[in-house]
Amino acid sequence: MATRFPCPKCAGQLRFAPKEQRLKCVSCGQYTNPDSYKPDDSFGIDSLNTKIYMCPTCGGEIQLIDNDGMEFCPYCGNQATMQEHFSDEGVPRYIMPFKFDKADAKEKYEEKTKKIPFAPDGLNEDENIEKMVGLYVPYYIYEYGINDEINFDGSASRTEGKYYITDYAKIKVSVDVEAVKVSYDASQSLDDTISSKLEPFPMDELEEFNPNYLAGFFVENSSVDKDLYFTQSYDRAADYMYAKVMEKVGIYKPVKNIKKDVITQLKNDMQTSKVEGAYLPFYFLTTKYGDRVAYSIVNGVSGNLYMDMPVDKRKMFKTAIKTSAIIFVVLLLASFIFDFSFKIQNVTTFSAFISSLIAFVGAIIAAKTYRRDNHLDDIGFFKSKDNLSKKIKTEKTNKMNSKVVNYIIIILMGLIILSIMSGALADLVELYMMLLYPISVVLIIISFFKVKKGKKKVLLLGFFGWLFSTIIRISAVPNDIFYYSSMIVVFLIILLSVDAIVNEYNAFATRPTPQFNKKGGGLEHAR
Amino acid sequence: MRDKIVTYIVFTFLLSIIPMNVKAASSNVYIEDDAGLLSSEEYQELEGYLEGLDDSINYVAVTSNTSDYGVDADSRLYHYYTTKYADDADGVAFIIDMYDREIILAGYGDVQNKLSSADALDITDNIYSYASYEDYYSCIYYAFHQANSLINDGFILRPMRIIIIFLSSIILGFLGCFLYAVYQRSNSKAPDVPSEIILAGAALAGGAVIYDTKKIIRQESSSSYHGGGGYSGGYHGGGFSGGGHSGGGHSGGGHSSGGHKF
Repeated sequence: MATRFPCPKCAGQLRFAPKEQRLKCVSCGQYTNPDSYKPDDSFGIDSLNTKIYMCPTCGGEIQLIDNDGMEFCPYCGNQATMQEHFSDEGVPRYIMPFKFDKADAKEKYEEKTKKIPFAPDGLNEDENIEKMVGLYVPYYIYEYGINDEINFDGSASRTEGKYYITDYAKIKVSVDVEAVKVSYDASQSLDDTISSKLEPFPMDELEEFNPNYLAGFFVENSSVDKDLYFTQSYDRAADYMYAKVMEKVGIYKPVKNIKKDVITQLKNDMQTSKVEGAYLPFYFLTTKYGDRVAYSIVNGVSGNLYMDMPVDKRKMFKTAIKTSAIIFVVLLLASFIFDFSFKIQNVTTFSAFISSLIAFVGAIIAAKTYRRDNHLDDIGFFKSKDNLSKKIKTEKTNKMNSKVVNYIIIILMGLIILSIMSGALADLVELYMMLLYPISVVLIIISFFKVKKGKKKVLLLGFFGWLFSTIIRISAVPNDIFYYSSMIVVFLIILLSVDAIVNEYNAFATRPTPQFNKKGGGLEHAR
Repeated sequence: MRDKIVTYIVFTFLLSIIPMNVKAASSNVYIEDDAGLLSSEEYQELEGYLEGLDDSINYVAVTSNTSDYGVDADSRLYHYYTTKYADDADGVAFIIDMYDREIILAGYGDVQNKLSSADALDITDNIYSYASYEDYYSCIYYAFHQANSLINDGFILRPMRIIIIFLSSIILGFLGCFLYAVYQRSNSKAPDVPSEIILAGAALAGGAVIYDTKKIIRQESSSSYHGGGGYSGGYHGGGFSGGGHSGGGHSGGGHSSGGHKF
């Protein structure tokens, strides 16, 4: 097939070279200025006549812009013969050309994966990394204009001699803004939670659409309806303007919490001027992980990297055995150096606490996995406002969970370090054990609330471990054989829980194979 | 003459009994079988065994079946020990408390340095099963035997400690590796960043018109901050440093102890 970007010198194939920001001929190496180059007639001013390839497995669609073909689907990772049909899709208003080339993206990916412990071997094998593709993803840019005058009471305090002086003032801020531009990814396949980790793009570097920047790359063909992010963009624009207004009031602070009032004032006067489309550059790598997929995505301008990174259980368990051996030696030596021993009752408390911690962490991961698998934080997946479920509008993610675990770990570690430093570890072990039990009860109760609709396997294993430990403790049978055989059972349950929680985490760290429910782009309407 | 003979006999008798009383008071072995768990042969045998140990250390073996002399077995053992010896005198004491079904081993004086609470806990872990099977003599005998080994820098087996550390190490190793993996992954991810917002053709101007001003006389900063210092000093002196562990519990010397239900 003849190239659609023929080299002016040798008629070879031109491809956009990000580092040089020019078109480069793959045959003769000649550089051509993309601003002055005219490709073949299939590229109109407002349209792009291309082949659309659809994956027979997941239904994902992609446009190939003068590429050599598609051997695998970038969305689900399946090697399948892509079904093709022609399209005369409209083109967006803007495009942001790649600045990182594929070699840079691979390097960033390899550099990052090397630092992550227990990474599955397949992820950073050359054969896998070679599958990385440069992909333009559709974005919407929502523009709002505003001409308003904001009034509120403010105060400013200062010290003069032996007085505190407070001035009360009427504040007036006049706002005259031609356009506040807020962008959202218009892609159905790119999860909103991923795109937020790949931001920011330098939006002031957007250029008028030029098809030459597409040479050699792919274009995602699954854009969502343009009014899908209208509410979010409207709120963000108002929040942004509120911050700008506050910057203008100088030393004065509002005498009361007036954020809601000011934002309401701003929203009342904010006008939607237009919605425009843009193509933004990413490198996309999809790896099959059992019946799920792991995405690794690089921002083609900033180099920011997002990775789904499951845990290789075999590697982790090997390290865990070595770590356990080291902990055993250290604990044994410490028990003689710091002169402490263990009451079997305290071991039941310890196992109850560990079980409750596993239940708590497992519940949080399971709940997050459920949200992710059902795209409850990914508005773009639903394509249009009509498809959006009621739940996705109302439910908010709670960021307190990881903080609770962090605080517990920090407090416990701090207490242990303090005890060791003060030489009172042996005396305080009893006290800590008394504290751990009520903490475990609280964690178990919270876990049942946190899991929501997530899978409950880890939670239940943790709960059974906790319950069994509690029964052993309460029964207080003065027989070590009973105690130790029961404790071995409890510790086996805990080991099973650890195995289950790794599985749960791996489900959380990957995604179900996508199934796209609606095809076709809407970007041409946003011009 | 007769009076002289009587006086001589009485004097001789007194002389003969005075050394006996002194010997009894200075004896380092005290066995009190209040619960009647030992036969007379076992009593004699135990006494003989304890007398054969270190002369400079007091050995107190007690069986009890009453809640008198303290709220717990440890307190009751302390009572028995201090009835006979000063609580800072070097000694080893052991009680089989039938009231609480508990055995307690304790070290007093400098013996605490050789027989710590952790050691006492390990020893009672090793021997509690004798009490469970009503072999009280063996229980007491091995308590002192193992305590004596440690006092003389010997060695005792501590299977319970090793089993617990082994099980705990496995759990900590596996769970620690998992948490480490999760922590490293969360660290490697970029934080959520909203997309960049662009402001085009913007003109914002702010103005303030003061309509009221209030003046409040400042308090002297020195006085207020001194107040804070006073609180800090009081807390440190009274609440924490003074009360503490080493001086607390039993007045005077304190002791090391460990026990086990049976």
